[in-house]
Parts: sequence; structure tokens; C-alpha cells
Amino acid sequence: MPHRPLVEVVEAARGGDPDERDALIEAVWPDAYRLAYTILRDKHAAEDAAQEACIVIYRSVETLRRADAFRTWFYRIVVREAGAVKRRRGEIAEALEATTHASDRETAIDVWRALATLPENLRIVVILRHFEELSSREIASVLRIPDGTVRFRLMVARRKLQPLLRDLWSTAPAATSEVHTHAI
Amino acid sequence: MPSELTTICRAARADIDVPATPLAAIRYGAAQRVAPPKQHRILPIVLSGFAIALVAAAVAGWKNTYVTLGHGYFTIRSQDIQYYNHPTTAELAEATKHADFHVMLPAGLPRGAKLTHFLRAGSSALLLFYSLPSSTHAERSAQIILANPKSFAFGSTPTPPNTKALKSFTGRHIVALFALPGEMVIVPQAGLTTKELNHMEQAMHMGHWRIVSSGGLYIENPTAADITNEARKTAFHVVVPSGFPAGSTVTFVGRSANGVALQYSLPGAWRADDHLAWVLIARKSVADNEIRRFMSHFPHGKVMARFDIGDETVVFPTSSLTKAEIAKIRRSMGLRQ
Repeated sequence: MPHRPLVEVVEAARGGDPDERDALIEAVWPDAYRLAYTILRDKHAAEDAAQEACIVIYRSVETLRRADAFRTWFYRIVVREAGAVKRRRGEIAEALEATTHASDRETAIDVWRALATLPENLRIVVILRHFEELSSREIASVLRIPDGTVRFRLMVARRKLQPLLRDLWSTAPAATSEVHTHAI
Repeated sequence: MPSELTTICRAARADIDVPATPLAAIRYGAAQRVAPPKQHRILPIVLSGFAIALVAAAVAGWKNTYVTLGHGYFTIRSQDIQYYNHPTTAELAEATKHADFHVMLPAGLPRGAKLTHFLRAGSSALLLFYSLPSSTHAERSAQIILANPKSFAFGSTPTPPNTKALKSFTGRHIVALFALPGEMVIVPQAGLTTKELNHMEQAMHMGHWRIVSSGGLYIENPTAADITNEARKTAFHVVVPSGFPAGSTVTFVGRSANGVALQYSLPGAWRADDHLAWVLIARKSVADNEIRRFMSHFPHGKVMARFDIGDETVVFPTSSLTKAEIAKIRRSMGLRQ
């Protein structure tokens, strides 16, 4: 079966056909899980959050007024469900943060640990911008904050991350446009 | 062109292993919760056949309603909540007539019980307040919710879109939840004694569902068929433990989508003080969450034994089960030591 654009899958799922809703969930599950995992850094918690988000999507996609609004709606739901799981489980990332001291800044650390050093409000914008590759306007819509706030937080976050990721930064492969795994 | 940071993050993201889509669990989870409101879809759900045209006019203005049970609270959400103080019989009859479920009003309440006020939430729920006779000067009252099973869900549900008026009422204790054909009866406040509740249960010929907590369904003294039925309703294949000491009986079964909890009454005079053993069967992929949630009910309890079988993790909190008895259960379930 040819790969359908997501907007078509969403449009079909809005019609209420269970098979189409199944197809939608199959299409978005990897993105939901990856985003949840990036936020929670725990595979069980990520699966829980992604599953909860997909339940909401499965149940409510019919209420979506426009198929092209799906992307923002989807991210908002996953971020919300991941936050709910995180609150329920306690601050998982805090444990990681606690292990990253100032002395670590002298050495190269991986992107996950670097991310864990950021406060929550900066971390989520970095995740949405650099992992999920949303525009600052889309992030503003997902998080329901002003666009300018998103850009400011991104700037602050990058400044904090740059020294931590100095080595990775310099050895990162040249950016290519074909590496794109997002269904959304 | 992507920045270097984006390239790093993209690589990290691509390294995340994605598990298979839990489609069955998602379908199940969606079906367990209240369907999203879409006003023009109410009619096909509520009505059928030739009555549609006639009743459609009658239900105009009646809105979708959501009744949820959480940890010691219940919530009623609706676009349309009406309050009736000192209601007349005609007002109650009118609310009953327009309900989208078969309303069976409470029966078998203590003699002298008086309906002091009620709330009508959309067409799917009635919250009745009764004052009860008391032998002391203390006031006694009871709240009883009658709801369309389709409007009912455990746990929390997201606020439905387009819900303008949202009302929530909190009770300290959920006493009982009964299922009648086409009607849920929820008694959320401990105004009624157990004896009075039992009398009401008999008078209304109600089923045996009883809730003691939230997040799932709990059945007291279940039959083998009850356990099998509950196991089937989970989002994973449940292997019910066997090999318990002869004479053990299951006194409770509780279920959520990702777990089944069983309480066994164990035989043996020496167990007099601790004759109950709990077992949690959790879906392996979410076992840690379920176990943590389950163990939070045992303030001083610890996990005594835990083993995996198939798609499930079986957990025994500390109880008077002996190591030999647990070993026998393991063997009986086909697991090596």
C-alpha cells in the first residue's frame, strides 16, 4: 500500500472509520513514543504516556475541526500526557540532573545528560525545536506561550547547552536533509 | 538548514527504539472512556427506530453528561445542570421522563427518608439528596447518583470540548457502585449504613458490583467466572495464578486496563492475624507503574516475590504465604525455580 501523507490519514480518521483511526494511531505512535521518551527518559513511562496520548487521539480525532491542525494538537496532547505521567512518577529527570555537576562542563557529555541539566521550561522548548523540529511559532501554539518567549528560551537554552556539548558540537556530521524520520 | 544542535538531537532521537504499537490497548482504553461529545451523534446512541423523530424534539436542549469516579471523589460534567430545591413530584417525574436511560429511582431507603433536593445533569444523570431519619440529633443524609452507563467512566477524563458549565461535587467516600440494566447507581457518601445499603440493594434487585477505591472495578467474593471475565477485560493476556494452598478462596478481584489484583483468604489457624494474601498481575510493559501504584496501598508492605510469565509480571506483597507455598504457585504456573 502506498505511503499516504499524514494529513490524508487524519482526514480519513476524522470520518469515524475504526480502520482509519487504527491507521492514524499506527502512523503517529513512533512520534508519540519518541517525544514521550525524550521528555521522560524512561521507556515504561514513555510507553504509558504515548499510550494515553494515543487513546485521547483515537477517541477525539473526530472532534478535530481541521486536519491540518492535527500536528499542533498531537504535540500538545503528548506533552500534556508526558507531563501527567511525570508528575505521577515523580521527577525522573531530577535524578539525572543531580548527577550532572559543574565539573562535567569540562568534559563532553551526551545530549541526554546535557538536556537534563536544563530547567523544565527550557528543556521542553529544546525538545520540540531540535528533536521534533517544530518552528518557534508551532512551539508557541503547543505550549500556549508567546512566540517571543519561545525564542528567548531557545536562546538561553542553547547558551547553556553549547559548553556541555562542545565536543559533540564540533564533531556533528554535516547536516543532511534526507535524515528525517518524522511521520508528523 | 538544520543547526548542529538539531543534527545531534536528530541522531539521538533516531536511536530511540520504538516498541510495537499497542493498538489493542489503545482501542480498549478509548472504548472504556466516555466518547467525545458530538451533539449530532447523541441521537443514534440514545435512540433507535421509529422513536427517533418523536423523541428528538423532546430531547432538544438536553446535553451530554460525564460522570467519573476517581480517588474518593466523583465528578459530574455537563453543559446543562439544573438544581431543584424541595422538588415536587412533577419535577422529579419530568426529569426522569426526559432521561436518556431507564431511570429506576432508589427503593428500600430507610423509612422516613425524604428527597430534599436534586440535580439534573443533562439527560444522563440525576444526583438525589435525601435526608434520613436519625435516632440522635445529628443530621443524616445520603447522596445517590443515577446515571446512564454510557456517561460513566472510572478515573479522570479530559474536559470535553464545548463544555461551558462544568460542575464538580466531591464526596469523601465512595460507598457503593451498582450496575442495573441500563443504569448505574452510585452511592458516594457514607450516610447509609451497610445494613441500609444492603436493604436498598435487595429492594432494587441490584448487582454485586462494589467499589472501594478508584481506577478500576472491584468485586467482592467473586466467582471463578467473575475472575475470568475481569481478566478478559484487561488489555493483555492474563494468566491467573494457581497452586494456592488448598482451601484458599478469592475474596476480591480488582481490575484496571493494565493490571488485575486478587485477594486470597488463606486457610490455616496459624495465619489468624494475617490470613489475606494479595497478588498483582500487571502487564509487563507497564509493570513498574502498576506495582508502585498497587504497593502504595500497603504502607509497610514490601514486595515478597515477583516473577514474569508471558506478557505479565506477578507480584506478591508481604503476606503469610510461605516460601514453599510461593514456590508451589510458581511451579503450578509452569515456571522453573
